[in-house]
Amino acid sequence: MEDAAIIALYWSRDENAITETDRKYGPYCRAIAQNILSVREDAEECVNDSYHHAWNAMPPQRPDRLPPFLGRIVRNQSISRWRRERAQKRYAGLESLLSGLDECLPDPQDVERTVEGRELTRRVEAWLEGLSRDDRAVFLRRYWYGQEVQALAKAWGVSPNQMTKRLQRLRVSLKRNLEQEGMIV
Amino acid sequence: MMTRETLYDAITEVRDELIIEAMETKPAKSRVRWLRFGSIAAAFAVVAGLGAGVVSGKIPWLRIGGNEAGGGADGSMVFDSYAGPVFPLTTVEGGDGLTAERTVTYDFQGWMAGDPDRPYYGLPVTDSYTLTNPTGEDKTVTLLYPFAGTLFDLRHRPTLTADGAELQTTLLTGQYSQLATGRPGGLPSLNSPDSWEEYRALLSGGRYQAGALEEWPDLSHIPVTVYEITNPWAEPGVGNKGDGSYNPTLHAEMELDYGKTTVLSYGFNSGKYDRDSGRMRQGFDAPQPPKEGASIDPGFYEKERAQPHFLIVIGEPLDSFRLVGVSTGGPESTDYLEWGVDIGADLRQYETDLDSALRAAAGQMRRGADGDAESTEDGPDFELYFGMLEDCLLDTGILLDDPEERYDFTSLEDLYPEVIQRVFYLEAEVTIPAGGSVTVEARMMKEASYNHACHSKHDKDIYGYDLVTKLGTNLDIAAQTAKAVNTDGVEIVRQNFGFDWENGVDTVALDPEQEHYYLEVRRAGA
Repeated sequence: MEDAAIIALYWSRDENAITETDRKYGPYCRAIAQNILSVREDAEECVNDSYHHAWNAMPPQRPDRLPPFLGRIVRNQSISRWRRERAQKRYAGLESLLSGLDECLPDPQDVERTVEGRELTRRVEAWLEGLSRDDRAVFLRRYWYGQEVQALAKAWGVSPNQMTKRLQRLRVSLKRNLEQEGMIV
Repeated sequence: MMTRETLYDAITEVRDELIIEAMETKPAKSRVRWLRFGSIAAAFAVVAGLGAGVVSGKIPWLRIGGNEAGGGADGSMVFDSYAGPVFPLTTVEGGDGLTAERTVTYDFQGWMAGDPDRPYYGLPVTDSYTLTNPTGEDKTVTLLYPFAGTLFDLRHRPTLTADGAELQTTLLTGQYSQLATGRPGGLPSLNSPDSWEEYRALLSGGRYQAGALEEWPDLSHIPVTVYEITNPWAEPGVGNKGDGSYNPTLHAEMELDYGKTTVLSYGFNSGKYDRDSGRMRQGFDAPQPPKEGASIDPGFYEKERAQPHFLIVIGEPLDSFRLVGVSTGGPESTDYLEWGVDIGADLRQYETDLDSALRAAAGQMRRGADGDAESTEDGPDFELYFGMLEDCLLDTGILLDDPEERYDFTSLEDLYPEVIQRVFYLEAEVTIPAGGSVTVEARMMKEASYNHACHSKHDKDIYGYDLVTKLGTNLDIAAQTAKAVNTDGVEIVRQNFGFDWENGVDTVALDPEQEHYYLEVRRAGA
């Protein structure tokens, strides 16, 4: 079924919307949830929660592209779940992702002004656009889709050590970019 | 204050086009070309006598780490990632006069329990042979046990025992650069094997296995000039690109005849190649010290500075060489920085041979740019790694005299010998007494073939384990049997073994004339 037709089902409050979403994008959503949470049962629950969130979001929203829209919901549901259970350190995938993002954070003394989250997103987008398409894909597959370093290494035909170093270079690059932009949120 | 969670949230919201593009981008894998050498000796003849072209014919491509296809046309699944089959034991001498019986046992105990010490959905497999010597004299044979894998996952290599005692083994692997020998009608179109049929093509004719028993190529006859750059630095604040980011870069600017000179690099990440003008530029980011109090690992800058960078010049000397600093990383940049004030490095130029120069770079490649040894304890020994690096290098054709036949290749880091899926061999010696038998067992944690997460749920949860009965063996294996144990909770999806473990059929006789068996399973209820 075309995405527009699935979105139309949501807008007409037809519960087949969720069935069709799962049929077409279930594997996509589960892959992201599984990558981020690393616990199969919780990832499954997270995807179900995400479908309900999508049900509540459409209407009023009418996304242009359904996969990123759903993926964002899964990411948000995943980090909400992590926040609730962070004490248990239950979700190795997200712990690893966040640990990597720690290295991208500018030092507070190196920044001069405060920006809101949306501006931070725009800065990240601008930084991503300055990368090669290949580097951009590596970064987003790791930090948006949550793919493991080992899987990325295999896909790119390099050793895990080489992929680790490539990601490290990208993190340092983002950190420097954010520092030089003088931004803090 | 920015936290990792706010950054996670900001990344979540990046716009759709970037998210979609990331999944649509096909990884830019390195490609290595097959080399049509008659033999490595012929290769040296080419190098020694530059001008004696010997190369002709079509040149297929080898894709490293390929995982787009797998399985075959016999009803088995086409997997995204194909782990290779379990191969039969063979011998160096030919095994004349010996008889053999084989039993392969798949043990599902703990399968899918998430044991981090296992390879991907690894399954303990025991490949057992009873070797019988019916003659009146003791027979000592050199065994070769083949297994599929890559250099960096060798910690899962099999172990060999004879009557329960572990055998001392030597690890070997074939040489891709020799496969052209004597193949009428051109080279086989071999990729990094993605199916059992491609493994069959790799091993057919025995040349690959024969190469495993030969010495690695010796490149010490080839003179080179090395430009070694160490201790690069850039002052804080230089290299401002104008948009708030900094990227001071060291560039090696060279003039050369591309037809007569080849430049190999290590530690460079940008380049410009102009064959018409005979100019070449190669560059790398100059490390800048972190700002006072910055949270970046204080050792990172020093590690970057300690990393040597090599340019290895083969063939005619360069017409000119100079090292410069530019303010941005672009290969076209002419915004030069003041050398020794804004930016600098130490440069050493020396003459040596290709073997020595490659060893210096290979040592760095093994250690990695961050100074950490790569799987030092579990990893292969350096000579194996180095031989495979040389083998990959020869495959690029860089030593051929005809520039048209050379792969456009410069960066040693692009060779990646450690990720080429190939067949390794464990070599061991065993004596079978006159009129007696010895049981030889190979025990391994066999990685599964699998599909990526983007597949449908049905296919995603299926894992494959293949076996071949006679590929590459010179043993007369009279009977072959397969067993599956501890199969509770494991459901067969497809197979041609004949298992029916729900009805108690967990041991089956295999037909030695059937080359390929496949077993595809999933967790019951998945």
